[in-house]
Amino acid sequence: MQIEKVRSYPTPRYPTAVQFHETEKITRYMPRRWRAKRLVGQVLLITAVTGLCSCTVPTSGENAGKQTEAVRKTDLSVPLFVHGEGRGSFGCDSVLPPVYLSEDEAAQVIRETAREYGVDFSGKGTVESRKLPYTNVYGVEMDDTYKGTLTLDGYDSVLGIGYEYVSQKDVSDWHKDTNIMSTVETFDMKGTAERLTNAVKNTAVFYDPGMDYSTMPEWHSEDDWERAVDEYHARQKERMTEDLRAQVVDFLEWLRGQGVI
Amino acid sequence: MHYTLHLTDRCNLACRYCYVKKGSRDMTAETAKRVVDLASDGGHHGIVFFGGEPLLCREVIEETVAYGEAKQKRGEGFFHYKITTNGTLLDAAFLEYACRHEIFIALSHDGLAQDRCRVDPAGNGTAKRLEPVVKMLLAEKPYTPVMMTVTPETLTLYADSVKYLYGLGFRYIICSMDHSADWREEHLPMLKRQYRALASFYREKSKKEEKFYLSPFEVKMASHIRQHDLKTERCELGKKQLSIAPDGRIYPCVQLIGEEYCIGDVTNGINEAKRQALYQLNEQEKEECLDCAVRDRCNHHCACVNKCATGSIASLSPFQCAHERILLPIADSLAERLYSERNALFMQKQYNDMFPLLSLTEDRTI
Repeated sequence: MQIEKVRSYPTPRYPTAVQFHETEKITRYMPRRWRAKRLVGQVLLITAVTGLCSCTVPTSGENAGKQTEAVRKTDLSVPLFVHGEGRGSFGCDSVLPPVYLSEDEAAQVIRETAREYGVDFSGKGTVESRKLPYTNVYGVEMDDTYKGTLTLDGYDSVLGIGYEYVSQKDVSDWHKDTNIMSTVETFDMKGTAERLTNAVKNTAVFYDPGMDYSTMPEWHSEDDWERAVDEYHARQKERMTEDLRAQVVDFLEWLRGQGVI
Repeated sequence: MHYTLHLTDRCNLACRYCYVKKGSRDMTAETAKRVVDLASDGGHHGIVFFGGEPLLCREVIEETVAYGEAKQKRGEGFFHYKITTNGTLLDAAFLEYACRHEIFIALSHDGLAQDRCRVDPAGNGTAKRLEPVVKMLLAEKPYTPVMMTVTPETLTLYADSVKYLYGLGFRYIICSMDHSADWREEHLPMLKRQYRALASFYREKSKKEEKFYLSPFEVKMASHIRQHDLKTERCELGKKQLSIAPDGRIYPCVQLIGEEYCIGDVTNGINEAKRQALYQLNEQEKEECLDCAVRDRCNHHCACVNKCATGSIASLSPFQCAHERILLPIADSLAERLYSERNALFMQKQYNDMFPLLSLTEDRTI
């Protein structure tokens, strides 16, 4: 093993303490677990007001400005907001007809909710990534990715932030063939959304919340079966819409917390 | 200043990588008290009980603490106490004593590699014996740090061991490489894999806002976030820490106990010229590092690491160099990610000097 000099090393895209306190307020970042405890908030406020939170070491050197610039250019990595199991399947093992929220149904919920927060997702945008996910609907664990451009489902050109809704159709369209096939098709919208979230910047990823198999009403005849299925469908859609809306609200609240809106 | 008292050469274990020369020397209470005298300049100082296994010398610990407390009452100094133990002799009585006298306990535990590395003289593993000790210790002292050593033989268990220790309830995990081991080029890909796995684990915990201190990442993140502070906090041989052997001789570091590094004794005090000479030798920038881009973020100044790996504090450890080149980009990538996600716990932990106070307030508030 040899000693090896590092010839060049990129400036990290997170700020030094001095840079942070020049541009941000620490009080904006309140861990969820602290919010429930008023005393913690009070201590945070007191220490912030009295300047105890800040780093007081002066910065100097020719790289200081360059580093600040590098940090300001940092893109937003939006977390995934989880509401709903996000799975569905169709085939010999599936005992109930699957219910999915289509792209159009989802767009209506997402755009309406976003408008209430002043976010306009009516624009068009794309995002480039080296790690867009392939999927597999035959139960093969798939972590293959590809480099490409994703056309987003909505984009706010003022904020520079878009969204992508991972529907059952997306999971099906992004399927990568393997040698394995099955009579059961399983659609993992949530898992796909998690992988996509890690691959893109400035993009909120929502997903089809999927079904809740436990709510099928009882039926007693063939006619009754149709009624039960219709009722089941309606109830599922209602719940799925609420789960999706909860994902969007969480995202918008998070965005507000970042000071973006 | 921290004064580390090697209370004894003896140990009830025979850890495979231990660097302490086993013997039968014990420090007398008088010698330990002379150390407290040395530290009695009215300032704040740490008294660290170390070994061998320091719990083989409980009476000396108790006498030393009583002596220090009496001095503190007279305004001759402020002392805080710490003990580093293998845990096998830690019982409820000592724990109660440690709580009463505010003695900070650090436990050595190698996680899943415990039975492989930390064995008794007959070669028996000690993991099982430690289970009730860990429970008892964390119930009383939930902030107890655990210190884990990684060897080439246990490298594949590195990430899983950290997860295991986290599962036991430890939230402050200090990881050290065994720098005296035979590290080879073929170990490096595995080291990278382990750090990547640890980065995922760290991120997962951060996203859930679960408190977690993992020393390799914290140190590297801090080397960017607190650049200036870190430069002044690096190894300053013999200036921030002194080690005192059982016979009362003073050395600049726990791993540099040996004739050539002796810088004084508890009776005659410190030989300043010798201490300064060692400090200057260690401060000289190594030629190989002169124009390295990560020189200021690297731990190449650590005298004991260089000594362990090369036999000399003036020579660089090639493994340390490789380790830093692997760890740094992984730690930076992790921090970039948490920053871009505006992870609130990460922000508070890294950018708020008052985080320990806030964290304690949270823990103490119902």
